[in-house]
Amino acid sequence: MKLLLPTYLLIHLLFFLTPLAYTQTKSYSGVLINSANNQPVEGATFFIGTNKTAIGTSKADGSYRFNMDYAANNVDPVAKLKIHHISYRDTVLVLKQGYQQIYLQPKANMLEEVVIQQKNINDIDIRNLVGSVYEVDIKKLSERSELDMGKLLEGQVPGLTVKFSGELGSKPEIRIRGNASFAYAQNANQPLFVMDGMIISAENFLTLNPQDFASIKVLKDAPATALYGIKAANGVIELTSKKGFHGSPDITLSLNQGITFRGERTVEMMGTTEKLAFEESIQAISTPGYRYSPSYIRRQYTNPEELERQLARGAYYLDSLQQYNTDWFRELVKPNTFQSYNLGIRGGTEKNSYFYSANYSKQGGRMPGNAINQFTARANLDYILTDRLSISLNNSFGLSTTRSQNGENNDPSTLVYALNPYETRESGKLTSYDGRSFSNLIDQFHKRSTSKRFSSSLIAHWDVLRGLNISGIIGIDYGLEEIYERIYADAFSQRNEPNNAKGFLKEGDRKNFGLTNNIRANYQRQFGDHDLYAGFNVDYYYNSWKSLEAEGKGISDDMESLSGVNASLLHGNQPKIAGNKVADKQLGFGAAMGYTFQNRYAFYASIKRDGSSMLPQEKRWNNAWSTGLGWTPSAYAFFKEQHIVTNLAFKHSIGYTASMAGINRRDIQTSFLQDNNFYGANRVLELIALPNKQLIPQQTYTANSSMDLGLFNRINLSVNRYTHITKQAIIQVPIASSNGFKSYAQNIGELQNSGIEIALSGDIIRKKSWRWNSSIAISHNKNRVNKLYGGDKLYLNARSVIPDYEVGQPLGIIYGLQSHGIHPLTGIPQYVNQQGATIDYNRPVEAHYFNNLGLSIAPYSGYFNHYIVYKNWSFTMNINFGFGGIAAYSKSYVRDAKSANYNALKGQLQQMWFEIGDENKIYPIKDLPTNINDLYQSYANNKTIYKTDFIKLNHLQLSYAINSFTGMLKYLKNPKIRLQADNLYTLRFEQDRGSLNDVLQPVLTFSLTTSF
Amino acid sequence: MNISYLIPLLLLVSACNLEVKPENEISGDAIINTIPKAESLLSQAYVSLQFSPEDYSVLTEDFQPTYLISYQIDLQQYHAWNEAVIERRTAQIWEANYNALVHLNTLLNSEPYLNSAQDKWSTLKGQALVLKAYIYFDLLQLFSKRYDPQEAGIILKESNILATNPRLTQAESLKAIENFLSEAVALLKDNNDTQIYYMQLPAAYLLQGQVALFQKKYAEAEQRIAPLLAKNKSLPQHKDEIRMLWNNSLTAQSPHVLWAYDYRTHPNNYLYYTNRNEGDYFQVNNLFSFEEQDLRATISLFKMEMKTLSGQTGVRPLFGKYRSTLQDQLERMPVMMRLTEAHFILLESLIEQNKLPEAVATLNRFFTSVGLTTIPSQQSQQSLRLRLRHEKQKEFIGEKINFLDLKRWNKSISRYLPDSNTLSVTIQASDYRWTWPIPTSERRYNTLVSQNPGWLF
Repeated sequence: MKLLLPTYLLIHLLFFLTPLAYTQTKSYSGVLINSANNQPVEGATFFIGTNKTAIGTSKADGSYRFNMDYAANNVDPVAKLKIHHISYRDTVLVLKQGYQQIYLQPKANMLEEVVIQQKNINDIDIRNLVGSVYEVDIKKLSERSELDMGKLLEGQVPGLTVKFSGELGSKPEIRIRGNASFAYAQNANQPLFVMDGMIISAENFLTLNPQDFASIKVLKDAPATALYGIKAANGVIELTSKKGFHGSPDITLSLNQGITFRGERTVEMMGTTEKLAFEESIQAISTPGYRYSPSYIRRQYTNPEELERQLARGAYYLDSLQQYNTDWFRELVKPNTFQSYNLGIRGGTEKNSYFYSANYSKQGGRMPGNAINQFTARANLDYILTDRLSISLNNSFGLSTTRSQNGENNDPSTLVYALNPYETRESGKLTSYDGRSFSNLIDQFHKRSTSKRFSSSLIAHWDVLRGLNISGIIGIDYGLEEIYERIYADAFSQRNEPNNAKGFLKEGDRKNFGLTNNIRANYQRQFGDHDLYAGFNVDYYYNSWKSLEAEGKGISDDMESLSGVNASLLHGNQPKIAGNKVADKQLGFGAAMGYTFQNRYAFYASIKRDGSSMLPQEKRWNNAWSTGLGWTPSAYAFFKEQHIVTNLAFKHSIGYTASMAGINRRDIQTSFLQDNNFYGANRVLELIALPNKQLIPQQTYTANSSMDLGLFNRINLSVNRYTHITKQAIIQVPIASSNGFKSYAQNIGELQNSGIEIALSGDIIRKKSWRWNSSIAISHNKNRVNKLYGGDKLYLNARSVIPDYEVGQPLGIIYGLQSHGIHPLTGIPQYVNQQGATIDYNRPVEAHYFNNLGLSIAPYSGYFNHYIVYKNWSFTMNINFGFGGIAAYSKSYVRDAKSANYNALKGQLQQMWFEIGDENKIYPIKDLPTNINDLYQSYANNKTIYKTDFIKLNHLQLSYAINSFTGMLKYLKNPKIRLQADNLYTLRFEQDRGSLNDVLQPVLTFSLTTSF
Repeated sequence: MNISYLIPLLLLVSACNLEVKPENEISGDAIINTIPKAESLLSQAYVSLQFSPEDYSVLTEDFQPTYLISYQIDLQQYHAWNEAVIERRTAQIWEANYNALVHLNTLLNSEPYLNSAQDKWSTLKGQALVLKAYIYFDLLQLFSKRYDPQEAGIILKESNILATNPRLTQAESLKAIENFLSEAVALLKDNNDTQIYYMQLPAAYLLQGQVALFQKKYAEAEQRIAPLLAKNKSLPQHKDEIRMLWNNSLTAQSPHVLWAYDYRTHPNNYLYYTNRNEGDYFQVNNLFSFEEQDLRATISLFKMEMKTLSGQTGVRPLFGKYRSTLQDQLERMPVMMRLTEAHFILLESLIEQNKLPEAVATLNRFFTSVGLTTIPSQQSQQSLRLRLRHEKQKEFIGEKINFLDLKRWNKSISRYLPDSNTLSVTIQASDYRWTWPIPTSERRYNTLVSQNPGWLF
């Protein structure tokens, strides 16, 4: 708290400084540019604040120049100017002295409205002059038929990657500029999500309604993120919600109806003929293909008469199976529907404005019973209390339900690959699932997770004096996730349970509560050619998670409440309860200053000091600082004389952040877990980890250089190059097990993450009724282990012979064996080591068996977008791609003797070794000895990897704006109809033999948007 | 409205303490400051042991595999003493034992923070020391060679700070174990805690006997268990008494059980095939036949009709401790130490000291207790020795001590093919696998330790 005092003093100091720089007459010049096509805007008028005096107009080349005498005009120097043009939205802002580029947003089909420029509290103009901030095209995003924010952002931002796994509704992995921590699969690399200046949880972010937002910014480098301090080491995604405006209410309604399709078939499975032949060849006694085959029957019966009878019976049975050829993919994976209804109302008076919205959406999953229902609502209210003081109140609410209604193992998609083609929904007894019928497999397990979120923030903005403003936010973000899992008494899994223990119910609540409190004082003044900025802030974040879960058995089918479980059961069937409570606090003090000279040079520096309750007292306070330089040659006068290079700017920044990523209290302090386990009659107290008292936070150093180049006012090229170095990176390092634990947290090394992001966009055609805008972006990310303290290789598992981290190597290398095919005499796979010698299976696995096969994290990604407008028609196309990664084939659909009762990969019959002399086979003998099987199953080899390169046709949209209606429909303003297709097609260079989970469902939607 | 009111308000909210007490864990260096917390650590040490009967019994001669074993490859290979499987399983035992030790060390090192209830603390400390001795003695018997004072012994860990220690010699290890035990005996002398799931004073005496026996100090062994036998001389005499041994629950105290482990599942779970009604993966070895009048004949095993490899059914002797039918799924506490073992320690000490008449009398006392006829007093030392070994193995079928005895006695053992008395392989007494391998998780990060001979891992 000691730091609060200096902050106060500095704020007071600024009050005194203010009068020193008070001059009355200023000159202003600059250019007005159409933000959509970078064309100059002619004929826009500048008005002063409330008395609506016109003081100037822009010329044909968009330029403006005027002098302004505040005293003469009797105007407050901090009053805002309004720029008005018939075809553009009115813009209100405080003009800067000297030369300034102002972007105007074309009205297109929008209503006349005044946009009050109120921004996120940490969104400081100067930050953008030196830092790397990418603004997502929210308009395009909000028109997509997709409910998941993660999916919407995928492939939209250079350097931002989103990786999905699991069913509809599961949480994706979002990364900005790759991984900064060793533990690359965990939350340690997740960015920070900020909505209207308030920190929100990743879960809440994913269920937001994109139509509620005016902008989404992705902050990638130190100057951009430094104000968020130690929480922001992995980048920030900043959302700003829409606001009301001064004018009559604008009601927007959009209706979307669509169909979701099955999506691609990731793997082809056998048909009946091949499967029965395969069963006979593999000689699995549990399968009809072998049990009814002549070869098996002949071995069983010696009596010729009986043999004859059995042969005929077998042939008849096999014939009857041949009648069926069920395609379980088509049978189980179904098209579904997509619906989304959105209503928005915006409006207000001069003093207050409002924005309300409500959205209901429903997306059906491809498996029966799997669906997301989502309802969101928002109310944003702004009040201009005085000329200098305004407050906003933002409230948002969301309800999202994900259902699945699955097999016992909770993943019905496995059935697609397991059920045999000769089995049907009516089959009484299945071969694939012994002793069960099809109805015993589906509808066994019901799961519903409901997430309810509520967030509310109060933001105040006070223009204290000329150039000095203070703004503050108090916001809460509350999320409640309700879990419900149910097995009814008649489910297959319950058949052996005693009658009083049949039926299962689990319910749980997981709550998270976040409080954001941030106060910022900004001082911005111009002194001639010098533009100065200084700012201070104090922020405080509180976060708590609480969970409560209970489950019990023996509940009747009529009951859906925990009160119905049988509490008298014993011996493993007793009801169970579990709970968890975690909280952390962070207090920070920040200062930032910036300086620009004639808009040509910019300098920015910030420092933040944060204390976190997660760390013990002596290590509590950590720093984050950043500094950056910007140089804009195109701001020189001589540059304006030519029309080739219309924009040129360079930026460079460096920064440092101590990161809380990967740190837990248990890793530093002796901590015991006290759960509800007992030994005998005594409670147990478990030591959670071996503490490392020397542990310190990771330190991330970043450097970013960028160039923006504009040609002919038409083409824009932006190049970003960055390096992130994480020093003292933390990971759970293995230790000798006689310490009682196998690993403990340690600052182990240095990780470097560097990359380049190139984006090129521009108008290919620009005619009066014809426009074709195209953009392409490609980014490359490369990470490398720079140092490992005390060695050059790190093995996370005592058994591994291949290092998990190695100095000079990137993360995520797939090491594998060199296959030498299947031995034609034994049917056993042969592998050769690095020297070309055959591997001896009787010896333990050694490091020289393995080769670097490639990277699992694709280094290249990017997008290719087109936007074509012709008269009333417009067409949008979004393609994204990823290159350079590999993955190992899943061997799960290659069957052996033990799993032959399940359906197998198409072609396995031909490619499997069955008898001596089978040459050039891919799959080994049906039962491999365990030691060979371990090697075969656990490691990839050069023949079982494939490239994950893909080009995905993400989004296609055709829309038509209807000029006018007559009759009843004449009240509709600017109606638009749209036909769009999402996740349409993915071109993979090699077929993935993985699960259905990573395939996105294609959605075809028809929508109508209109205003009233 | 004047916003200047708001700003101090906002700052007030910020003005807070950054100490957040975690609510779902207990954190801090001096936090073990009450007896209940310290006792919870002792309980956790027992939980950490993760004792499981199958780790030992499957390796002994107690069981023969049935045809069902082919559905449980891992168990089959463990039974066949497959190196890779032994290495994997025994690594878990090592890790579990050392995890238990961390808790015991934390408990013992908390003494300065516990300033109340001196007598309660001495009981607790004594109990912790017995467990510590038990763990070290276990590690010594399992991961070191048969008794040889100069050979490598245990890795001693006395604190919970990261360290890599070398192995002591067996002589040093045994010295340490004996010291823990004698200190524990002194502390537990007046202890009136009778919780059956902790090792108490009787268990400490039995351990002392085992430690002496391990070093072939037979006179000492006899003397060590004397207080135990003096207190309760009688063996279980009636069928009900014998059955009670295996039917124990937390509330049922038996004078014959010194320590039972709170297992939280059925102790014979590892024998059950997925479809319980079809039988077990193992049957009781045909070596062990019980005469009809033997009180244990229907308790140590039970007969059941099971299918065989040829498809026909046959009657098999299935392991009967803790259950009398295959449907029995109740949780029970596996017996870890019982008084009968003290009798056998006495018997072995007498035989090895060549006090043969006393030995015959002791053996006959056992025979009488289980309803068998006694043997004549004229017996050679060797024949008595062989009889003792057979009878002890038979009495302790399915219990951990059998594996340790086989190793100590330097016995070769046989492995059979499923559903048959045909020998598949003999594990020689000299086989390197009797001494379990130092796990990779230790050796890889502790350069002071080398692998036991024979192991490639």
